[in-house]
Amino acid sequence: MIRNQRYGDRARIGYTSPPLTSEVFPYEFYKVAPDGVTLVITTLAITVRSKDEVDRSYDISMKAAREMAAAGCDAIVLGGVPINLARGAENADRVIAELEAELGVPVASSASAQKEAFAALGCRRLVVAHPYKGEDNSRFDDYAEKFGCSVLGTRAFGSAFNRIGAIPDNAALDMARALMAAHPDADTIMFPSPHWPVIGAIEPLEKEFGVTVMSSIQAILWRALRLAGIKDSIPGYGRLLREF
Amino acid sequence: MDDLDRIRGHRARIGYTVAAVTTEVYPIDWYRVVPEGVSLMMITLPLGTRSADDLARCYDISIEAARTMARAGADLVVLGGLPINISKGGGNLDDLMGGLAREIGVRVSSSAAAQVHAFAALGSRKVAVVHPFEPDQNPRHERTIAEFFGLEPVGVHAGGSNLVALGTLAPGRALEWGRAALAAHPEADTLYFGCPHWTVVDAIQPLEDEFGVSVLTSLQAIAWESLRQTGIEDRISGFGRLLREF
Repeated sequence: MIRNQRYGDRARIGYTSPPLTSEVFPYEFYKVAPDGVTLVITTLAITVRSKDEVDRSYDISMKAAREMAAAGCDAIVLGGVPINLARGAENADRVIAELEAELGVPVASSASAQKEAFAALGCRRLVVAHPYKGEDNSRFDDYAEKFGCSVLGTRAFGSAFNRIGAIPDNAALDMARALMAAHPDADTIMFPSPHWPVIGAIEPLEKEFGVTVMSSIQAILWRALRLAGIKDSIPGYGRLLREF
Repeated sequence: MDDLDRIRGHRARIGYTVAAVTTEVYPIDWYRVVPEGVSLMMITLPLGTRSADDLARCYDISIEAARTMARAGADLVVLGGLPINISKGGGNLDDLMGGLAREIGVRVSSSAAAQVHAFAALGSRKVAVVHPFEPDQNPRHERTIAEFFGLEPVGVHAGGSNLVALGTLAPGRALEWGRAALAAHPEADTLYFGCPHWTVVDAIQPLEDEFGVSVLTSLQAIAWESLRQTGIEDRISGFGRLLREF
């Protein structure tokens, strides 16, 4: 007997994916999302995160959002905090509001999803583990502060942007354990960037240290589901998806 | 090696250029078909009306995308979109892919080449075609079967949908349209589903079992080509003869 329901019969989530190539995001999305929820993805233009690439990606995002609405997506998330904030935080909020009005579809951004997630979880004192080189530490510290949190410590895996698909599954777990050993007063472990493998680390770390884990992919998916009217409590991937 | 020491694509990382602005069905069906440890690295292309200019632009972006995927560590790059692949003439496709592979240091294939190899492996001769688009695309499909693949097109069934609506087609549509095509053209030895961006994988095995034909789909051929080109010889059940026997 063949299934007669289409894949996205509960919700179809549009997402503009910043890296020119997308590998980890779709895989992890489907590990976490409930059956009947699909990802409609457009890849953007980022390979080294130059200003030109960010500007082009911003323009592609706007066009892609319109394509996604025309294709019937139930919620759209504009990916990439650097792209979201490229023209200022106020502009980012205005773009979301204008797109929602134009398209008739709920819209969020990676930045707005994370801001909402941090607020829901009540995060205050963060440690940050990210996949990139150490030179990016201050960027993530700035974002965390924009989200109303202070950063106690940061670790960088050291990958080039275009190689983050080749980071092993245990990297997030190892970096977070080292950070928690150095900063036991942290209340939250943050994994920025939804393009390296983190979902397998969330629940073990919350149980091991009694803290909250907040990752970009978890925040994006959580916000998209809630905007699309899916209120399921999802076990196995942290407090955010289970409790809020 | 402990499982956690592994990367997502620890058996093979396959780069693929998606011939669409957005993709929805392809990654779902890809991960249903391929074994664990084989990952998909995607780049979406700004394909619109399939005009000559549109195809040429997407062709150029595909080549640049192949370079990007090679730098990112892909084990194989597959250039998607048969109309894009053959937009500069199908006859020199092998030379173009060979030249690109030498330049980027990674094997290169294409949707078109994968399907050529798959038709050959299956021994196909008389082909009935099902595609999800309007009937005005029928002549293009007949020409491609005859002129590019060198096979006999025995008939084409058009689903009547469009690029924007592909993600909303229920899996039952492929089965229903496949049955209609094979009932109308019982002389077919192979049923071909064009386009890998609608849900067809669930229809493959039921149609092979019911009609005793081979069923070849774009996604199945691309997945098969990707596995075999990267040295993965797993025999995969449930998605037709191609992945199970060859």
